[in-house]
Amino acid sequence: MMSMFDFRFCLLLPQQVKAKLLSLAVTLSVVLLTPMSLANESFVIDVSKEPKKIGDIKPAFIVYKDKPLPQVSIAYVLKRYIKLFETAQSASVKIDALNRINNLRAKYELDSKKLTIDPMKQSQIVLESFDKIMSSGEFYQRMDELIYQTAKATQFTGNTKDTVKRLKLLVGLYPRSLLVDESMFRMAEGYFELGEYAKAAAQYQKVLTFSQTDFFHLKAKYKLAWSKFRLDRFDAAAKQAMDVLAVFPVLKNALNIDPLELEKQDLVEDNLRLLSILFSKQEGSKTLESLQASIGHKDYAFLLHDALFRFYLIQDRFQDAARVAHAYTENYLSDFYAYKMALNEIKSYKTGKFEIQEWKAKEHLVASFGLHTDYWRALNTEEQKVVRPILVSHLLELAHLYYVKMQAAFDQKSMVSSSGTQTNQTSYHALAKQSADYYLALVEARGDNRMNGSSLYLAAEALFKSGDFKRSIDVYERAAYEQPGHADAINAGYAAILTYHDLAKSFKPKIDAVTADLHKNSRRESIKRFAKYFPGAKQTPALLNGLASEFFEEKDYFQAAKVSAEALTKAGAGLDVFYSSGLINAHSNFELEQFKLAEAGYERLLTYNKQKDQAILKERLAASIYKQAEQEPIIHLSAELYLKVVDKVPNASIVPQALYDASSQFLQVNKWRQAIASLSVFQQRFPKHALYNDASDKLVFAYLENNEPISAAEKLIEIANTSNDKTKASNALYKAAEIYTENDFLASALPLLGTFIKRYPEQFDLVVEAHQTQISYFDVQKNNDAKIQWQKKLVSYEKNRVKSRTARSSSLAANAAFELTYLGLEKFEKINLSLPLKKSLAKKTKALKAIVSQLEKLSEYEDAVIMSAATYQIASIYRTLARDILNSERPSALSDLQLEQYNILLEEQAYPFEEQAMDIYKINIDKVAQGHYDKWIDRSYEVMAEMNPTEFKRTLKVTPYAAEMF
Amino acid sequence: MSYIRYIQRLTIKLISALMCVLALSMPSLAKTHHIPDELYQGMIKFELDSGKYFDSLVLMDEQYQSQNFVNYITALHGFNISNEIPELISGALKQKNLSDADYYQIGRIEYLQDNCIPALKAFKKIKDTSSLEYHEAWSFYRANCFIKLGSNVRAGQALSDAYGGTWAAYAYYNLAIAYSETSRDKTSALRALKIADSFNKKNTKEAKSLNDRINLAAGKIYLDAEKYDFAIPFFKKIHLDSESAPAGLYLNGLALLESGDFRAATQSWHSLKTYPVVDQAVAEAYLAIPYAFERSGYISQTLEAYLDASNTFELELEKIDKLDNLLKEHSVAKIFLENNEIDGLEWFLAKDVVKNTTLAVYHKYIVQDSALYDQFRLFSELSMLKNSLDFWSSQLTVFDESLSNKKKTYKKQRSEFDAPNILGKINAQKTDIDMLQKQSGMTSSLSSNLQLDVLKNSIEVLKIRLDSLQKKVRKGETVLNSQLLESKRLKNVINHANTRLTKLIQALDMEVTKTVRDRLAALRARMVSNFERSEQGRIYLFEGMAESKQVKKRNLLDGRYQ
Repeated sequence: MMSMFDFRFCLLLPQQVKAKLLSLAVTLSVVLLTPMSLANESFVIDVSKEPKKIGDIKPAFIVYKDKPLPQVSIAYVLKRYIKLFETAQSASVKIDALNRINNLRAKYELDSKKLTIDPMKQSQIVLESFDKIMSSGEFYQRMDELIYQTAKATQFTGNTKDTVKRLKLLVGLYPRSLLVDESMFRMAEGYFELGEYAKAAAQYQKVLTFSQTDFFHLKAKYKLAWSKFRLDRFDAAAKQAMDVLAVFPVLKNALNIDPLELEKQDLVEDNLRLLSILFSKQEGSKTLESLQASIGHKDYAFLLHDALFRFYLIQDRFQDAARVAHAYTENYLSDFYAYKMALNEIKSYKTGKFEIQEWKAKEHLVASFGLHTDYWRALNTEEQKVVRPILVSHLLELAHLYYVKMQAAFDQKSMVSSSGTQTNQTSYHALAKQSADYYLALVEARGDNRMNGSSLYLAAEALFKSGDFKRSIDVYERAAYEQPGHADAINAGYAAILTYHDLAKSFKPKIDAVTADLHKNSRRESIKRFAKYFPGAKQTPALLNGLASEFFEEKDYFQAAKVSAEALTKAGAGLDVFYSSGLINAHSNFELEQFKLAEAGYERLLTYNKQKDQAILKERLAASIYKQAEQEPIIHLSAELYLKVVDKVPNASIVPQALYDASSQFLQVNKWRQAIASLSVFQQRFPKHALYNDASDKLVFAYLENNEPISAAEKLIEIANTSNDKTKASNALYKAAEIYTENDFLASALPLLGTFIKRYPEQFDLVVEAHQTQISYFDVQKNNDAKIQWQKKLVSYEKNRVKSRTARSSSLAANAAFELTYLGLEKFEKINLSLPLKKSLAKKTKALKAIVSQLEKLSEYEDAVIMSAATYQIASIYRTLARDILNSERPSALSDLQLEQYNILLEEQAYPFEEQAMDIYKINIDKVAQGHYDKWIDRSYEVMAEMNPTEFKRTLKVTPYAAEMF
Repeated sequence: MSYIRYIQRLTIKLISALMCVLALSMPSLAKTHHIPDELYQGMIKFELDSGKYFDSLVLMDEQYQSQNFVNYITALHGFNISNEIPELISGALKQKNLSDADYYQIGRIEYLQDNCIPALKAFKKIKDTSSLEYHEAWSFYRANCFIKLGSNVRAGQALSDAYGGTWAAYAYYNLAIAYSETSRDKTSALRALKIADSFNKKNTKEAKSLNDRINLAAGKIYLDAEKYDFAIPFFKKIHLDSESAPAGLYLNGLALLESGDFRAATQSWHSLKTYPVVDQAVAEAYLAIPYAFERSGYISQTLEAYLDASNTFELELEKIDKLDNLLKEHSVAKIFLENNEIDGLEWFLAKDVVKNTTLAVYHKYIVQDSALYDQFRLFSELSMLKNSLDFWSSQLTVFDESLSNKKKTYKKQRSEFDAPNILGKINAQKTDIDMLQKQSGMTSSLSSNLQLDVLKNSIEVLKIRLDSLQKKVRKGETVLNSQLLESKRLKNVINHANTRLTKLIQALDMEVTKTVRDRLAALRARMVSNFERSEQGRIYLFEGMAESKQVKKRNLLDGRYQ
């Protein structure tokens, strides 16, 4: 019964669904969308009482979570595919597995036999699969594919003719099959394989003309080109091959085929090989250019040249290869990648061992792409980054090459010179210059690079060898200081310095002064730079020492000190250099009054124990310290420094001075004990020193200040006894006596004073004082006689030297004289007015006159106090007389009246004396009005208050303080 | 036409030949029918319309066959006895008195014979199409013929004569499918589907099924056109209990996947797991789930899903193998058609997926093949026939026994037969009815309700039958003897036929079993293919995992043909 339409329902699924889904969807669509027929009702199973729809389904709960994946290798995958291939019943699966196996094996280049299926076996299985499919009807609607697969299988078995036959069948039977394009292509491939190139070309052309898609166009174009080539249609083949390249816009101006997808690369590579063969069979790069001219563009110039180059190279046609590469560099110099061709040229010559051409190619490279070429100027930064290393490596090679050549020439020259033959100076110099130029270009090309130093050094060496000393110095300097870390930097720096000598010598007839001076300064700067950059270099100390010497000789002590100091810091310096630098440094510092540095320097030098210099070095050392002491503003430190001289260089000539100066400094800062010690040592060690006496004076002072008066006195006595200076001696003697006196050593003092009075009577003041000291001493001792004796000596001495009288002497003498009046006054007072009164009175009056006369003489001293005292004493004498008169003895036989009259008479007798006494007292009181007041005046007031109380005994009215008032 | 199909057809033809012989040799009422012609013809038509072509053939006598040539051809065709049909049709067409209905039937048979041009010619001869009883079917067949002949436009024109209804809906559905597969512009297809949908308004199971198919087709067209947002609503309308549901769910998932909603796609496919995996849509869903996981980036779940798919397919393969072994050992009849208690069949009968037993699932799968469907039906009919023969045989046996008993008791019974007494009773009944009719208050409507006239007629019939009985009784023994002889003859015929029928059923059983096993083998091959695809997917995944850790050395040309 016929119930259904059995024509196929061809559905097109969305493109993006994978092929596997496509197949299943198609299958489904056949089943599901089969047209309906009422005659064949569907077999319905009631699975639900309540009909629900798909839209009513509640979504199933699916947890999305990822777990760790197993480790899977390609080999494992292959094994699985092989198992699938072997066990699968589905022919399509089997064939797919086979495809995957082949792809994976090819892709990962797996050669293991375990992972391989024999191609024959494959073909067998494919054919079996075909039979199986045919018999099962499974792929009935895909007969074209089956034919295709069998064609493939027969291809595997090597039966190409059969393959072509089958493919023809496929194309004929299924012209609308999707496999037709491929089949046409495979047919062409078959013809090609069979060597039927005309048929192959025609078939490839058919593919290009009639295929439904352009999937095989590329391969067809490519194989068409090959076919035409096989047919010896070279021009057509070349143009066809260029058409293949035109398929890939990405190859325009490309360097290689890398931008292509990997699967396209083999094809394009082979296409390029074809072109290369075509060029090589004709005129090489010339043909290439002609082809480009004929197609009107040069979009693939590099690719084509590169391919041709590689083609020649593979065939060991090295020179041809190099010529192709060279031609590119000549014709396409504006192309950034031209450098690659230059490299190719070199590579080619190198591989072919064409050494001379290789070097020429390298020279060509650096000349064409160097930093001063138009090519380089046209490069951007990124491009420069690419080319620069190439330039560098080749410049390096070339520089080395010429350097080696130069050395060889130099050696040859030396040999020839020694044999007395003429040398080829020009060649040698040219090689040197060329080497230098390459090295310099290398350095420039490298930019900032740590290797530059060595290269510059070699360049400098080459320049030196070429006799260009001035440039060589410059380059040496660059080598040394632009990259100071490299191995030759020191040598370069040193060489630069040394080359100045060669430079100077090279001037003919002779270097002029100005230039020489310039060179000298440059050289010195060079030395300094050398020392700065290479402080640890073995040459540095000697260079610095030499430079320091030069400065020292030029009395540029500052520079000398500086440079020599630097030299001294260099550990590698030799002993002589070190000693020499030390000397320069110490002397320079001394001259620069940097005495401390000088001291250190000298001290260091002394450690070398060079006998011939020991004495002077010690003196210089002492002087350095002494000078420090002089400069030292802090006194006690200065003193210490003076003493340091003594300590450090005890035998130096300046030691006594130092000791003396030390004491002076100690005295200044009241360090008496240290001063005493210094002075004592000084006097002890240098008793005959000119400053000995001065030292004594200082010592006395120090003793006194240090509260050692006795020591001072003793030192004074020594001065007094030894000094030729009489004044000084007298003073010292007196001072000694004075010190004794002050310190209650009067027993020691008085003999000294006595000696003084005798030895130095002309020392008026001191002699007066010496007298006074004696007077005072005896006064204290209550040795009145001795006192009176010394008072009389004083009065006498002083009176005899009135011209020398001083206020002091006058006062002392006046006092002494005044006290001497007490003797007459005592005598006066002892005379009693007894009866007969007249007689006694006369006696008394005589005594009175004598004493008054003495007192009146005191006025000569013109001492106000003594004058007041004398006045008071005179007044008192008169008053005493008056009182004594009144108290004189009365005659016993007098009656009261008589007695009364007698008293009146006495009073009358006494009254004038009393009046006179009062007047004299009044003289003292009147002195008050003149601004003079002393105890004698005061006493005069007291007496007057008694004698005239009305006038002089007044009660002082004192105004109470306000506080008391309230 | 595939080889298998060819074999199936050949088998059916052979069986048909046997059937033809059998049918023609069957005891038939044809020659001896005594029922009224109208009733007789009605009975045959009923059997024909019910698709019981064998029964109708049994009923048809020679006269009927010659007078209702087209019905006879229809029955023969229906019962797969097609050897003579072309000749018969040719002969029929020579007749000039053919009605429109005859032309319709001839056209229909030609159509069903896959002879579209003769079919259309026959249909063209119908003069009054508008009053044609099978007007809708006529439109349907014509349209389908034009579709087959590659003229969708003519098909559309043919359908313009349709008045609507299920036939038209199916026809438009088919036209839509035709448009969709032959035209790049899917608008016509969608328009046809829309019309099909509008015609398909009946709330029947069949209409619902068509509705689901329409939605499925529309969704599919939109899916193909990459209009996923339009496709999904159609898929959602498909009933879950429909046979379109698996495909709908699968394609729904596909549309969701293409919309980028991997999760929803996976969920849709996940729902398919409740359907038997025998359905390829379900199998595809198993294979699509890992694909969705992979697209979502969940590689480990992809692997698990592939594993699940492989396991499911393997499980199903086990079932297929088990079933095949059972079929090999027993037969289709015993496994699928008869109630039996074969050891090892429990699993097959046990509920497996949702509400379906494995038996139901595989039964459904097998009968989806139209030839097998026909064979199953044929087998069923033959079984029924055999049952009928057995029944008749047993009836004849009973009848024989009855006749023998009757013969033994006939004399006694004949003496006891009192015809006048019976006639008296009948007349008394008649008198009672007459009196009842004459009673006051007996209205015509009441009389009608009491069916008094019917009763009177029955009394008349009883009189006739009594009269006849009296005659039979009189002929009694002779008739009994002749009946006994006839019964024995018939019994022999039946037994003979039964023997041949049994052999035929056995042959058919063998053939069907073979065909079923072939179909099962196809299913197995498909399941193997599914399994292998699942494994293939897993290995692809492994390959991806392995390659992601490998440095690609070199990519060569495609390895499939170098």
